Amino acid sequence: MAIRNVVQVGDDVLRQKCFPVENFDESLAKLLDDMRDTVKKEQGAGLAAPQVGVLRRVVVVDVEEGYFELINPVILQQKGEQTGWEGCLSVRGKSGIVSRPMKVKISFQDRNGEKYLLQAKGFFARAICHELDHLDGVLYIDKATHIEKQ
Amino acid sequence: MLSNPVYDPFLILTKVYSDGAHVKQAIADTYIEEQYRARTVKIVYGVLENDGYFEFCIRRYAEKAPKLAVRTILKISLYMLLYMDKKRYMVTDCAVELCKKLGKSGVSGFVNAFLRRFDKEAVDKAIRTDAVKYSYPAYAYDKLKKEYGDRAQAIAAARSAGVSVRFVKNADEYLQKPHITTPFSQKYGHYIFENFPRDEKFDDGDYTFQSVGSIAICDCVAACGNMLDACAAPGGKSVLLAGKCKQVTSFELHEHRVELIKAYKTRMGVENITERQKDSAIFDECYEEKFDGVLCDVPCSGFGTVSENPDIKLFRKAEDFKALAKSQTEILATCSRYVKKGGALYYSTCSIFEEENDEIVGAFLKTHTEFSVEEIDSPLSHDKKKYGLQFLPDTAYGAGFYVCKLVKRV
Repeated sequence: MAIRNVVQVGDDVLRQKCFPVENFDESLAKLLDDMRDTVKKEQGAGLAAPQVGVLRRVVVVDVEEGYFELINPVILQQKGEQTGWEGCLSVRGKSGIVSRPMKVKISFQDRNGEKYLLQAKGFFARAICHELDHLDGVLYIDKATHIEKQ
Repeated sequence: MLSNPVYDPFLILTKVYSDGAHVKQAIADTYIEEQYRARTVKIVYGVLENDGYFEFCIRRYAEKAPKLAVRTILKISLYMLLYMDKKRYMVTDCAVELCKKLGKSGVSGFVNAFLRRFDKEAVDKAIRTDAVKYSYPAYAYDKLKKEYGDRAQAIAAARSAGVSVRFVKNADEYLQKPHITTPFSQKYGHYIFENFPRDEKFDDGDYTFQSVGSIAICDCVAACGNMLDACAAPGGKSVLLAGKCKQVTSFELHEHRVELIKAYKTRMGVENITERQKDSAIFDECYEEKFDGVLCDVPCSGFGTVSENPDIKLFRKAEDFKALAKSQTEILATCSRYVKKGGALYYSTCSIFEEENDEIVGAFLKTHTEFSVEEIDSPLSHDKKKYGLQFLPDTAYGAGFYVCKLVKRV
């Protein structure tokens, strides 16, 4: 078990463009293990590496469809629209209404560097879009039409 | 078995005073009773911190300066008497016993008399300068006074706030213990503890001991692709910067210190650091305009860290500053050539003196017109100087340091 510190909004590390992962090594595995422990403990639907202070294109998503580790993920296609509430482990105590695509198709690598394609819809697609935004320094509060304190 | 509390500190301090050993090294090299390690280390640092004052106290009672061994025993005794609230008879007993153990029965009478007669009030009345009061070398206190005026006292009197720890993970269980949060707690997991015994989680890379200055300097460095840490050992800054840079290259002059960087990054599980044994003062065309960011954390007098390293007040001499300025200037000039056009050059020291900070930067800017100052800020309280930020021990948890950001014209 290794719980990492989740940085909060205001920190410039959340506003940077992340660097692609080139080495699929032990330190990546360690990061992914720690991110899993952290997202489970915080009961989040997903977590991006910059949220634990690491500027790498790595996210994890934990939804009904399963638990996914996405490295160097890229959105290839998106369809439709959905609007709903989102929260973020780096913006504690708030939630906001955000519009996202209904379906997305992405490519990504796993922790060994193997390439995959994945299609997601509904909340799964929303979670992926939210986490991928983190990799380019974008937070949901930038896109939300309405924000409320919880 | 009862141990003499004076003995282990005496062994360590003898290495520092007579062989000129660094205090950390002397502690590491001495076999000391593990059970009393904390007490021994506390006494050693306390004596060094107050060395100038204790020396003055001894001279008030001894016309001719006693031999080094006797002075060391007396200094330890004074520390226990004045700062640890030990009973006078107990301190005197220990000191006399140690004199006999060391085969110096001849001086035990003097030691005994000194410790019985010693009167702090009378001594303090006789003090004529603040330099003695704060155990500062006279030349350094003059500099301090000249630069900071009335604030010099507060700066000289500042003490370390405690053990500075940066957590990477699993901080919660340690945060049950009393601690201070800092402006870097949320962002970097940085906390200061009164005591923090190192355990196996240190080897797992859960946390590391990193000074507030080191973290504050890294905080001023913007995220970038290729970063050079030009004077990197032991590697604390390189490891922290590796989180927000694509690749970090770490130069270090001494081979054995390059090993420290390797050990540090391995322990912390960081792999995007390349360490090289290299003199950052000598230009290497392989690296010309190769880096988006270059950090020159140059060798300096270290006067910002005397609360952590009190032996600096003993060993650093006025004449050292000239040689330091030369190497600071050379490293900055050489490493500036490694910065890409449009890239950033950072200059930092753990000094509180302008001659090592703004003056070096000012002289550099005159001869390197392709660079200009970019204003930076820090959440830790500081003074804005003409070029950089000066952090001072009285308002920065006992640490003094400096950082400045320059940008190379496109």
